[in-house]
Amino acid sequence: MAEITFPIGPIHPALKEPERFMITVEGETVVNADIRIGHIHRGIEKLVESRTYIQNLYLTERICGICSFTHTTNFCQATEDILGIAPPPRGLYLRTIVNELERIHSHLLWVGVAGHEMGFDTLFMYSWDDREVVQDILELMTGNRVNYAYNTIGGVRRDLNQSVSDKLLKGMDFLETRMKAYVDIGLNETTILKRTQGIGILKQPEARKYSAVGPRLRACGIAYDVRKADPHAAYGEIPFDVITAETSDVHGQYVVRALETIESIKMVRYMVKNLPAGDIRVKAPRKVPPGEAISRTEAPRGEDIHYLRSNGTDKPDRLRVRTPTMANILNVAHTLKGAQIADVPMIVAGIDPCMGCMDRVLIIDNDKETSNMVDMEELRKYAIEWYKEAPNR
Amino acid sequence: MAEEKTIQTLTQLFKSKGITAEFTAPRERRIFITVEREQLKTAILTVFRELDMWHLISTSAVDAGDHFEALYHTASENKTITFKVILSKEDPTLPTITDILPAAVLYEREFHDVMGFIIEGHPDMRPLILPENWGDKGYPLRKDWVDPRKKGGDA
Repeated sequence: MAEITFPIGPIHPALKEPERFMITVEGETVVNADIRIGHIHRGIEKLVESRTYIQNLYLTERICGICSFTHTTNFCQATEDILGIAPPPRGLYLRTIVNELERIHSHLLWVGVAGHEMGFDTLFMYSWDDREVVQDILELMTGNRVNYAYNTIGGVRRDLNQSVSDKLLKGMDFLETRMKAYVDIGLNETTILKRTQGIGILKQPEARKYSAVGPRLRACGIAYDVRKADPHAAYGEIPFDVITAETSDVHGQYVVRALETIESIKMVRYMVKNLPAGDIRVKAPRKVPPGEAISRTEAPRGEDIHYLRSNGTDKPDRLRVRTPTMANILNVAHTLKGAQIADVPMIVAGIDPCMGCMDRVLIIDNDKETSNMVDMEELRKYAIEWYKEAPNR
Repeated sequence: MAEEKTIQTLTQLFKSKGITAEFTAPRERRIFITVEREQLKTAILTVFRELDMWHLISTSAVDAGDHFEALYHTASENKTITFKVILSKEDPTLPTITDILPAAVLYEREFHDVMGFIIEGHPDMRPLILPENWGDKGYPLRKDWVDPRKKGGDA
């Protein structure tokens, strides 16, 4: 059978993070997959060099629209590391609380996206509705829903008062019952089992070989979590379990994310109840002495790393950012090989990239040298129909 | 400190293998190892085998004014080890490490894109983050790079 190559992606003006996958298929089976990233390269690493540390807080916040807090945490931690200052315990706890709230909202968002990709829109509606609860808490606590502007070098910018923390705990109780329902759905609902089990399998040796990160890695049975491996902020003092799954497939990632959210809810509750008293920030000097630091955090999608080099002025000399999707995209290209076309959306959605990449599909038939445009919606519908025709595929 | 103990073990191991290296540990769980370009791969392999490591977490390319620096950040369950290679401005050539750490394949392409490092033996050197038609507009993260738009060209 002739091989056909078609690109998925790269761009949709309304969404973020476009990537292009060049997929070579033989019949229904993917035989090769190649990645092209950089379509929305914004030159942030260069821009950082011409801004002061305070200005860069707002710039690094805008690296990602979903895990914005993890980037400012990283930038603050690296700067604090070079300055040799440590935020007060209360500041660290508040920072950690927002980090975990961000994980809860990001994982709920993923459950919805995964539900949508597999044609299970009811799940999408419910999980995004529940996500509003955590979004409201974030807005109440920080003042914003997306770019919180909560972190600063030396601590955080707003304190938590009694009425907000009461609402926070109430929201956590509600979300815990809801999350238990999502775990139940994930383990028993036929639609989810059919579309995720045995799909996108990444074996442990390959996961290590391609240095996978985050839930993708933990779904392969490797208990690796930066919160445990490199305890930053208040993570060293908070009890929590690292969730793993043994199945190595997309279903494993669903289970890991759902159970991880419950862990996060417990952590937030623990931190609010054991919040130390005192200041929330220390004053940091404007100029940073020459030095270098690496800061690592566990973003919702995996490990996020900032490497900062300072030169004694009020502007950084170099900031290097490695985002989790950059690390995971390599193993996606690997797991796509041997998959069915209909499973491509689920495998790519599995690592929780931004779905902008999947929005436009161009199919080129090498034999006829014709090309026609298909958009992502059609590929999604095609996948749902393909499974409907013969549910036992 | 656990880092000092690790450094002691590694110093002896490096001596027995004839690798010259410089160790620093600025804070807990962080170790920097400066190695020669020719001995980079042996150093990485030695450390990975000794400490049972597998995780390449990131790489960074730095323009330090009179020289370049290539950094390879690796991690294990309880430490972050960075390998640092100092390169001259005239000859920013590096050996590929994709044969020992396949996860480096994208990072090395980025090395070339942003800083103009030449990676010897890399299987696939297409641009990663810069567009295909970037051409000879230079390497944007070098300190002496000037935005082509300022010189009347297009971006």
